[in-house]
Amino acid sequence: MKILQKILISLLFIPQTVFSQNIDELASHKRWQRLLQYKEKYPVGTTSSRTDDKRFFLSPNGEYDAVAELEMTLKKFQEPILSEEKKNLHYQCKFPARYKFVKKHFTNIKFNDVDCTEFKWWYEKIGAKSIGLIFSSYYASNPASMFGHTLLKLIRDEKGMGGITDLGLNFAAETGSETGIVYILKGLLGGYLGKFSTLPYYNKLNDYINGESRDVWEYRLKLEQDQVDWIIKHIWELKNNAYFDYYFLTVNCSYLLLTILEVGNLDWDLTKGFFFYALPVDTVKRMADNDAIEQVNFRPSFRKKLYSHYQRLDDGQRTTFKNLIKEKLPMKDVKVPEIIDAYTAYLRYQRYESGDDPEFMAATKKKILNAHLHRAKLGVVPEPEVYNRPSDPLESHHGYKMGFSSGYNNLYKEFYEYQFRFGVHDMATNSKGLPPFSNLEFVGAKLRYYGKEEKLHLEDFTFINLQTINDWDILTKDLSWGASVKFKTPHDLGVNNRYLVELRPNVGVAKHIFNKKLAIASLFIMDLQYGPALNQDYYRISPGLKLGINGNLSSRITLNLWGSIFQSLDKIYDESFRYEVDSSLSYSFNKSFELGLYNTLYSSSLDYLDDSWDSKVHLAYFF
Amino acid sequence: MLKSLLVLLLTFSFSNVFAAEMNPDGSSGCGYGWEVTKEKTLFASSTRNTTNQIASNTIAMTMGTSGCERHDIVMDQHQQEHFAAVNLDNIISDMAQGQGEYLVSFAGVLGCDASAFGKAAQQNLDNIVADNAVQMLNNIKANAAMKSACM
Repeated sequence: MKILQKILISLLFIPQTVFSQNIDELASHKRWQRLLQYKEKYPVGTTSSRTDDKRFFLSPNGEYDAVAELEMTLKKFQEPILSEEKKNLHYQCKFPARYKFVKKHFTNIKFNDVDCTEFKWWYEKIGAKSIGLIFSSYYASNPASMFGHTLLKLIRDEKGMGGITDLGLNFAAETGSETGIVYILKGLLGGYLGKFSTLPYYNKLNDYINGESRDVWEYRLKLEQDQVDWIIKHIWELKNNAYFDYYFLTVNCSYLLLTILEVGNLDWDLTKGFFFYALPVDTVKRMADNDAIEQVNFRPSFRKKLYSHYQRLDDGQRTTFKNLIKEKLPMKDVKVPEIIDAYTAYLRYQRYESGDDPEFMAATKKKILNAHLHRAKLGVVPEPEVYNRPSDPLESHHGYKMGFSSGYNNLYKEFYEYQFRFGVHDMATNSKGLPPFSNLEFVGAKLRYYGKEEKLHLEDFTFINLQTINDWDILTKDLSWGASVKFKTPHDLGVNNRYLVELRPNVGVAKHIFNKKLAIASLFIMDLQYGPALNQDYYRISPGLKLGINGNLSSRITLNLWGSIFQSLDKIYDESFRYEVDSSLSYSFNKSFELGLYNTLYSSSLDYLDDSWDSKVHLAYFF
Repeated sequence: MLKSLLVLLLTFSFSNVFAAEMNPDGSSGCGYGWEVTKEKTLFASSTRNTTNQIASNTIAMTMGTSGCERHDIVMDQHQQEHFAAVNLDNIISDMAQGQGEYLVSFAGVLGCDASAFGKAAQQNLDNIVADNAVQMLNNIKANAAMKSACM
């Protein structure tokens, strides 16, 4: 019976044809190309889709043939629905943005609109009036999040950034249980599948602001209602029909969000020119370059809120606060709501940061509850102003770096140095819009040419170099830490064809001084070296101590001064004790250029080699 | 020995760095979106314990399962529970202070007048406060002063 029904339907159904010329033209329409997620591929001139998910294409060749896909789409959109229950599976319902495109451009075809109840429910639920691009900033305490992350906020309000109950759109990879090398390789080579998902914005805010104490920046984009409509419909298509091979560096969350936004406004050119990787903050800058940002909003991390609560207390109140956290004072005696607010924030921060100790968690939870109940009796006071608001990440210098230096070394005379670095920041350069007092360097190299020897040396190849300098104070008691992995020339052994791999973790305490403009730090450091440059066993282990000061002397001038002493555990060279001093003073012109004077001092570990120093003028170009 | 230590440490540092923005929503159904691996890293001074525990447990309780894409927008009947569960900490904190974004949004989700709701919540906090969202919602619904803010 059912078969008969189907045959009858197909007999009645004759798709209307269109002129093929029209199809060719529209298949190369910017919107159609973007809706199919097409991008230029090599060889130049060919295009294909970013996704190879078969569900995303109606034609077998749709992945690279826009004409075939458009023809098939026209045909599928004219198919009648098979049954009322299955109507939501109709292609009109699966691809509402494509349907909008086709209806707009093929006015001579009469389509029968399918009542897509599921899509409609979803669409109305979102109720988007605009889109916000959300940047959750660098999370220095955890390298896994150090580059930040972006997501979209589907804003319900006509103006402003909308509430926390708006919906967020996130793109992320589905990973398995792999770890280590397999995990890295799979990630870099696109072995994981990435997928879009929507979830309430407050979920993400909780993760970032409370769980990870990250600042969140919200950028409302300049979009007309019709452009928002294209975007939301395209999101539905992607969310339900497309997986992407997730590459950690290139096809990542931030990049793919741009491809969605591009569908809304055809004048925006957002995805071109990302070379090798798309840094989340660079995707935000791309929006700014296209003059696409309407409004900016800052949400402080929980840690910043805690400082704000503390900052507004006067000296007497701070003493009370300190007695309160040391439990020298019963809480019920404290009647100032501001102090209790600071105290509650302190306890909550403790709890977020406490890890998995269930006893501590339970005890703190109880204290928080008591503080809340006590606080509720003390009335309403205004929220504190956000203390120490950082500068907009849009103002930060760009991610890639090329450096050109000219300098002098006491042993090898004049030299020239060329540096290239993929990302992102080091503390010798201006930290505006970036986490202050931090290194977030990955993959870079320095080449040196010594005039005297007429020889090119690899000064160092940095795989990774991380450093955070946290303020050790009564509120947070955060340690400072860092680690670097380098392949480098050991200056204490002379620079001639000597290379080694060096791993340097460090941990210590620091203070932020002068209104948090500067940081002074004292770090315990472990220097682990391995390589043919060393003795027969090829290794050297040297614990050490590192002291330094870093920060901005003005909005443009950055000071960086560090001294380290090491003691080698085995006496394998003439000197088992060695030191290094690094200093620099830099002037930032803008987001692209910075000029600095760098000085370095190395002690020698060999009797026949003198201590060395070099001094260089360094021009940094960020792009 | 040292060689393997170095290799190990190298691997470790990279796996963390490139773990950036991984393992989130998909890995356990729709989930609640951790960008970062859940394992504690050497350097992480924080884990996302509190929000994570409160959110995932309570939501799993109120919604049966959190796991599939059809439901990644919270259904109407669950919206109140979901909002309360995910934001329980923030809501109670705002209630104690008698103001705040979470309090206003919560009042909105419940269909209450924000200002009256906030005032009543602060005055009646000891009757409302609960360990989990469902209990707190029940307490609110059973409280006369709170009810009057939602008429």
